[in-house]
Amino acid sequence: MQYTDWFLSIFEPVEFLLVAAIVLVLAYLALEHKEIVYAAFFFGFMASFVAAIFLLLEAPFVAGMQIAVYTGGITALIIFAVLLLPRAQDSSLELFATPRKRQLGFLIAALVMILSGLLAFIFPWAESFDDAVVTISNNLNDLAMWLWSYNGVYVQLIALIMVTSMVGAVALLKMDKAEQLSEIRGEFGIEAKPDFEEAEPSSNEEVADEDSEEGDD
Amino acid sequence: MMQTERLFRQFIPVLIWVILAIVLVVVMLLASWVLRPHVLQNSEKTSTYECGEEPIGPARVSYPYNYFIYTVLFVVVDVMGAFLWILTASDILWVGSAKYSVILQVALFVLLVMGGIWYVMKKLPEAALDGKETLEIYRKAKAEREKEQHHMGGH
Repeated sequence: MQYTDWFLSIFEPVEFLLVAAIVLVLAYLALEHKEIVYAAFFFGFMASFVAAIFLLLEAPFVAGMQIAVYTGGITALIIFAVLLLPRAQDSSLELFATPRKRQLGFLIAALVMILSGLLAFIFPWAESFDDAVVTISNNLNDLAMWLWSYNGVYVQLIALIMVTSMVGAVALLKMDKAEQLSEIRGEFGIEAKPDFEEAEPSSNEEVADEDSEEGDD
Repeated sequence: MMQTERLFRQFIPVLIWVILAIVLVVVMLLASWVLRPHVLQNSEKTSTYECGEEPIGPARVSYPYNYFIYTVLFVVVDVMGAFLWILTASDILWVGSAKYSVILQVALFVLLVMGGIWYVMKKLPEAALDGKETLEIYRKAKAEREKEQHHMGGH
């Protein structure tokens, strides 16, 4: 019996230390890996191990959100950003200008880590949160009630924010298109000497379409 | 302090599943390593095959910005799914006095998001470069230029 108690008491810290170590290693790899696509994948793995920490904290909804939004959504967003921006694949962006600046960066990172660790130690966690809220966060049924019934307005606000992001994306694309839309100049553009008279739009439209798109690039 | 039933332990089947997935990958890699012929590798053998042509430049190129909209759509549906997931993990939609108001909230949420997706799908063709518009601009510029040249030729 005593042995089981000891095992149970050691089980949770060991779980936490294991998951925390994996998260730290994956976070370092996500930052420092030379291939940016690999770094994005390491970020995704790190996010799913952070979900394990939420499971340790008995918060299944936050863990599910973490996996759906971070491992699924944000990682896909980063990979898409890498695909869209060839400059993001340039690994020289990550290099520090001098070793001195690199040391300074490490120093600041260590300071931030120590400060946040100290804050986590001295923060009165046990007294800061209402017992009712703690119970809700552990129970999916209560949490669903809290979210959809008592705070439904905020869920609708999230829907509106998402609609805004979609409309904004369309607006951005239209602005980009308006910038690109211009007449073709140069050898194959309007300065070209015509060998033949351009046919009427109705009869030769498709051929002309192809020509104009090629010239656009 | 110590609870006997921890949530983390309910996920031990998931952990076993993860270990099985890792073992599967390792076994497959090992099996292919054992089965494949170990011939000499050189730069010619390991180079990317591009229909017999010499590969030029890196394979990763910049994609058109139009694909950005699909990422936004994916993230939106992802977040919507995460919010709807909690409904499947509870019984508030069919139990209790608040079920009708919850159903209304869910319907409004889904309608708002689906309305946004409908708007995007409607506007998507307008957001991409269209050959017809380019051709129209080209014809206009060409006609203007010809008119100008004609004008200059007249002097």
